[in-house]
Amino acid sequence: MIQQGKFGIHEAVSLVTIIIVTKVFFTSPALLIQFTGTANWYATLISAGTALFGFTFIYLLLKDYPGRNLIEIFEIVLGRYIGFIFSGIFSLWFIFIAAAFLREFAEVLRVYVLPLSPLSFIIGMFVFGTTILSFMGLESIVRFAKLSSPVIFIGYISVQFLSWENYEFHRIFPIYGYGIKTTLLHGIARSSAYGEAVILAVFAGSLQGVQHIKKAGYAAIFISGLLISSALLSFTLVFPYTTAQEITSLMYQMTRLIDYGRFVQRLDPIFFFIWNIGTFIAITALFYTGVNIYCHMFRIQDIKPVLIPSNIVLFAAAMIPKDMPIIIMGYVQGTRQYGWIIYFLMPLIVLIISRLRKKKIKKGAVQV
Amino acid sequence: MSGVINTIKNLFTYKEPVNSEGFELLEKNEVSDEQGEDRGDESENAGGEPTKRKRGKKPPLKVEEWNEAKNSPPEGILSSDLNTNLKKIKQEFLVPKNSDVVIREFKIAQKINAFIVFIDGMVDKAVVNDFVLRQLMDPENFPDTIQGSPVEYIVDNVLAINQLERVKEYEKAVKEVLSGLTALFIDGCSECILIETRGFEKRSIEKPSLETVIRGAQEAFTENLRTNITLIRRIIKNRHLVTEFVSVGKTNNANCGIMYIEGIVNPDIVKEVKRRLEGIDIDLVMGGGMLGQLIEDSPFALFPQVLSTERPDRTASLIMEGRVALIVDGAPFAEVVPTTFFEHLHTSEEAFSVWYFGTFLRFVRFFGMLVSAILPGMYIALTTYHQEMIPTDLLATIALTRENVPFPVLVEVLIMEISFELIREAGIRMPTVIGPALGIIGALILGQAAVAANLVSPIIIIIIAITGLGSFSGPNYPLAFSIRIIRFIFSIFGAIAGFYGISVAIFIIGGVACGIKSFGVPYFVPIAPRTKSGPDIIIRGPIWHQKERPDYLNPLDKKRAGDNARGWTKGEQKGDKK
Repeated sequence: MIQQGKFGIHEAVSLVTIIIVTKVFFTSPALLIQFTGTANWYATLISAGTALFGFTFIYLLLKDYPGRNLIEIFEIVLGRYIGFIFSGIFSLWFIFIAAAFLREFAEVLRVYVLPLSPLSFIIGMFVFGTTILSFMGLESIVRFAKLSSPVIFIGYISVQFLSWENYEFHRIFPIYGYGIKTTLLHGIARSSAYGEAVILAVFAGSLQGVQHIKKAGYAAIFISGLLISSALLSFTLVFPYTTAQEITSLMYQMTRLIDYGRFVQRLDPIFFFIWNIGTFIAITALFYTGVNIYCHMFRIQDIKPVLIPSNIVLFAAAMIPKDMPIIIMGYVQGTRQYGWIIYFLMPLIVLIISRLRKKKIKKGAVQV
Repeated sequence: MSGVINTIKNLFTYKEPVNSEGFELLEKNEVSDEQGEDRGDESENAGGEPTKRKRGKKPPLKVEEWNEAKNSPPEGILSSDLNTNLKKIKQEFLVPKNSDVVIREFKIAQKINAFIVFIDGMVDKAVVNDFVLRQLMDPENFPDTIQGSPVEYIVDNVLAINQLERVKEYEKAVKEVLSGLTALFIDGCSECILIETRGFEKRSIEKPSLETVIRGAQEAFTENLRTNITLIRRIIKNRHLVTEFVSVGKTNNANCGIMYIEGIVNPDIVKEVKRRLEGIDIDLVMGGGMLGQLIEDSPFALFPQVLSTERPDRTASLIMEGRVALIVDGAPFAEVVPTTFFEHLHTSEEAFSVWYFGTFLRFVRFFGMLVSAILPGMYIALTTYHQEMIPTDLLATIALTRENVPFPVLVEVLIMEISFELIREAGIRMPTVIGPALGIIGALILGQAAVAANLVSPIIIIIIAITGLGSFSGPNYPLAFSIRIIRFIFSIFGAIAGFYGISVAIFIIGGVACGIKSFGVPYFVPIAPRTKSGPDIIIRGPIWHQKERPDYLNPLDKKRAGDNARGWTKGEQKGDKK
């Protein structure tokens, strides 16, 4: 059994919220606006609601197997081989989204801040930090998330608050966007934006019982929903939705527009640090989750020897995509649109199989 | 070079993880008890030398040797023969080579042979002359025949000394003589008397030099262990305040006092402290800083995990919270464990100030330390990578002042930083008489002359000056050291990749710091992880709101105040009659 360390509800909520909310800093909001128009800010609430519903299945699954994490449950319910495949899919998925997220971050950073720096340098530095934190272990990552969460939250809210002067309330209309049906469909489909709450189930052993996981998961999704919705509402009020679809990082652009006289303007530095540190936490946690699942699959007791090779894999995977459009329209769009299959559908399948088996066993016991 | 190659090789080759015994402060005592027992078994031999039995044939003993071996006491136990004891003591203290050791042979009441042994300079000679030798040599103090053991008679009737101890082991006697006691050996007795005669020179109690306060107590620890313990006992007049002594350092055998309050402190912490102290296997342990390095959880981390303080009042308040204080003989500092990051930002001043002023002071200090750590790095990042973030007027000023400077900003900052560090170091080492001259050198050469020579820009001078002020605002010397190192890290990362580089540095340093534990207590508790705590982390809440001891210490007695600490505000007191 890998020593994962322990953490409480507050830390878990902080970590998952940071992982989910960090997406707002990148290209996802522009994509969402592209599909739902001015209804984006409540479309994300529909996504959050769907994710809450999906997380319920995970909770029910964990409740049936107290003291076990999701990966162990896969093996118990599906057997060693099919469970191994399910775990493998999860492991690859987390490493893949970490790599995609890293590449997206590096591209956005190049666009706005370091236009002359090569991608390999930006990604290399990031991976250097990720390697060190991975070595420190899950406890360190989670605690750092908790420690930085108030700062990130204050920065996040203050950017929206300071953008008040640029708000044009007529931009919220048409309130139904491209229509209720479109909003609803995209809202449900993009529930994977909140799917990272699943990592609580992967690290179930680190939290004190299923009730804690339930509380942490629900709270994280709920808070993330509110925060993302508020940010999207700000974008909608600042930029016409036709323009917003074209902007790489709406949050960064919105921060640049803040202007309260000669010396209170261009508050990029405030945003820059919360953006960077939030992303660092998110990617490190996702990557660590992937590697942790991999170690579970192969019964590797000590995660440390696997970390440096895995980080090299992360670096290589982040370097694979050819250019930014492939990242945005391919990877990001794909993971948002179909991520729910992995996050929610796979645990649901396992839950159904588990319940059917239990019924069978009960029936058999009654007949005997 | 080979070390670097080995380090790189170790990163890529698998090694069995070292089974280092971690310590975790657990809620349930049963679990930790088990662990403690396990550890106790293992640590029993800690620090002990592995005993190797020489194999081979022993030569047969002679008759005299056989008789001597048969009649002599077991190894390390005093003999009843005075000459044997004298020989052994001389052997132990390397007499006559060691001229500090005084062995005075005499006759008790002109009858019984005896000798005393003490270290010259460690004892009060007046006590030895007037209350030991005079009493023992005076026949009037003794009857013609002594019933029972002479040792017993002398202890009960002759020596008018407040502390006497009878011991039977050479080891104990030697150890106590080394710490200033006098040992009396009497012919025919297989035990000696240890007489309290300590009286070496010591510094008087002075004002604190590192942790000065305006409104608090003006006493600091001295190098004398007994004085330091007394200073704490004067503040905590509690029968449950326990002082235990452990000897640290294989060769120098320094006395280390472990102070805690029985009934408040979690016994697991005390057990762990003792385990670590007993596990120290090094020849010399001096003063606090040295001990801290030997017992802290992560010695390679940048942050201090043991709180070092020179103030008895601060030590007392920390002991009252359920912590353990360690005081080593010869060090004017107490080491308090467990500790957290936030305690390193606190001073005694806040406790003596009203809550809002205390909070204000903390914010100022916190801001100062933040500025000290990050400002040079931020300046490098801004001027090198993010010029667009600087308001135009300011950017023009910076550009104008840097026009004739031939160095990149990083070099400018490093020149000034290293110069500043040199001045600081020189200031500490120099005699106080030359102090003002150093200030002049610093101000003139590093300030005006460097700017006039176009080696650095005036803005750098301002940046470094603010950085220096910020670092001096830090109340904790070891933490200020850490900040100094971190400043260089931020500067280098800022030069490598601007704000992005600084973010990477924050992430790495913050993450590493979050992984640190001090005696099983996470470094950033009660914020990360979140635990119950009184309003005394960053904001110094009112004293009467601090009703509970920190939860992360798992104290046995959590409450430190009643429901209403300002009981007089209840209005009508109990027992009041109209």
